[in-house]
Amino acid sequence: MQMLLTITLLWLLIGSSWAAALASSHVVDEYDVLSQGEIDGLQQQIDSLAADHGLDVVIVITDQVAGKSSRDFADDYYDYNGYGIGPEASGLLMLVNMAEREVWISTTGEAIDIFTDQRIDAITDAVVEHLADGVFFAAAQTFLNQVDVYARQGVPAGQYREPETPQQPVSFGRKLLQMALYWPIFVAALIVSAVSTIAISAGHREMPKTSASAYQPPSGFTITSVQDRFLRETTNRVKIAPSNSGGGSSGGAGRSTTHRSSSGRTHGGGGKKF
Amino acid sequence: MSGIKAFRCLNCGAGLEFHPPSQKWKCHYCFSEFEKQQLDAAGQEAEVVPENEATELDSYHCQNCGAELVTDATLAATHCLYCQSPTIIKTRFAGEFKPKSLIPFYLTKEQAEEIYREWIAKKRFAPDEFKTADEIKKITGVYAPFWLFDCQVAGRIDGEGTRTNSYVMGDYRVTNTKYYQVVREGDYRYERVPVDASMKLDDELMQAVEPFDYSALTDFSLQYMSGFTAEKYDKPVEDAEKIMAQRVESQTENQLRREAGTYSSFRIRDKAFTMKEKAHAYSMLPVYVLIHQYGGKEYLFMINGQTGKVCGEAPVSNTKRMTFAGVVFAAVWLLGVLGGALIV
Repeated sequence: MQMLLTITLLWLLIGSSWAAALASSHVVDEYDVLSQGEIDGLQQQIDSLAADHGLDVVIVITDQVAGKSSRDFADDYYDYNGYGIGPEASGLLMLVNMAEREVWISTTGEAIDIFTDQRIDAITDAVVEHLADGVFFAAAQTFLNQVDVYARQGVPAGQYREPETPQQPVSFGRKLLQMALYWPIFVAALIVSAVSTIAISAGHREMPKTSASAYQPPSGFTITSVQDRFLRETTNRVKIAPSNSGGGSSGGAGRSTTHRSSSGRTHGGGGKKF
Repeated sequence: MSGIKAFRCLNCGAGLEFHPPSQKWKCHYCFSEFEKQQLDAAGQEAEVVPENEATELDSYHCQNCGAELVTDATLAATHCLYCQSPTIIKTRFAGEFKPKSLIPFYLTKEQAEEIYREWIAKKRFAPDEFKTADEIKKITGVYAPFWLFDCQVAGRIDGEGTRTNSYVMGDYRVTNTKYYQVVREGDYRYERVPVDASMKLDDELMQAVEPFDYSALTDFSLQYMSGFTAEKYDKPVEDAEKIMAQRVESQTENQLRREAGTYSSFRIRDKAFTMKEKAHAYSMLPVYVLIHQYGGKEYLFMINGQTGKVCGEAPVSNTKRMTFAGVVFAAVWLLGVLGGALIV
């Protein structure tokens, strides 16, 4: 009986540790840089993010990307492993690609709108600082903290999605036609033609001027009177207006660039090297 | 014909022509060359040539435009210089022709033709008919009549000048302006200011062909006329003097302004000019003239017969101009389209 109890306890222990490992399905450390404790801590944060904001956040650290681009790998990992909360499968995946030394954040659903290109740029900047130093836990934490901050702010005012235009090879004939209809070329040709014609027309009249100084003998003049009489003085003071602080966001601040991944789903995101 | 004897070759008796490059008289038959002193000396021996009698001059009067040109018998004119009309009548020149001085031609007709040929060739839009050899030959050497004025101008300008100083002090830009009354007076001498004495020759063009080198100014002698035409003056001295006055007063004002010196701004309130010691002389100055009629407008071309300075206006053929504009436009547009398609 005691044997059975021990075995059951052992099995439960092992099982629960597996479960614990499985419960960290949102933190995938194939590069082995995070301790179990760190993984658990991150997972807890991820769970509260899911509860507070309805966003499924995933962190993947690996060097086995099988030749895919970071963007494709991140998108596919998210899609094919069934992540995402709600009808739009909203969430984010941060991929730390150790093969290319690149970080990529992939967004889906509502996360596309909350995390604009500008915000993603800010997050990756902050994360890359830690990754460059090789401090992966801090990088992951920074990521999750930033997600929380922006998720609380919600979708920024003036946000819009801008689908990426796919690069289609255009035939030369078609490009020729596009150029022919492009009106700035028309205007430029008109200006060149007009300017050159006017210049040549003007050259048809040569009428140099001769100053009457040619008829003044060198010693032929005398100044007979010079008077400079001071009349009055005025002073004017004008207050210099303080210069307006420049600024105002540029038009692209609210942009979320989107693209389609292999699964056909629309994703946003961005990344950089570290 | 008695007067013509003075212009005959001392060696072979043929007619002599004034040769600008050498400033001597050349005989076309025996290629002898003579200087003025030789001719004068010879002339005084053989004949007493009354230079005041202009019996050896021909006058060509144009029925179309009324122009009158004077030549000696060596030149035969067929068309009016000004309107190209062939309706010219040749008579003996009657009347006075006594300019005080002249500057002889330094350029030959051939040189003038060459200058014109090069000039018109560069004018892209000029109609082709003005570039033909026949047109070029029409260029004529004319002694243009001028009034040369000497005078002394006393000028006075009275105005207000400002000196401004601007600097930043704290939050303010301070501008300090000092106002002055500025007076300048000066005496300026002008010598031999030319005013063209021909109503027919365009004043602006005659000014453009200036200046002449007056060191070559010499006493008038009919001998210099051989091979060239001359125009008798028809602008009265009083009218010419007004033009001259305007020119010298304007120049005097400019120089007095310069004497005003360093002011941030200067505005003249009052000005006065007095002209004294006026003198004038009737003189003939050499120019080569070619006049075209095109599209109801007159186009003049002139070369200073002494210095070679060129001025004038060439007519513009609209067809040529539009064709050029069209071709350039098409070329640039095609280049842009092809280039763009290759780069993008």
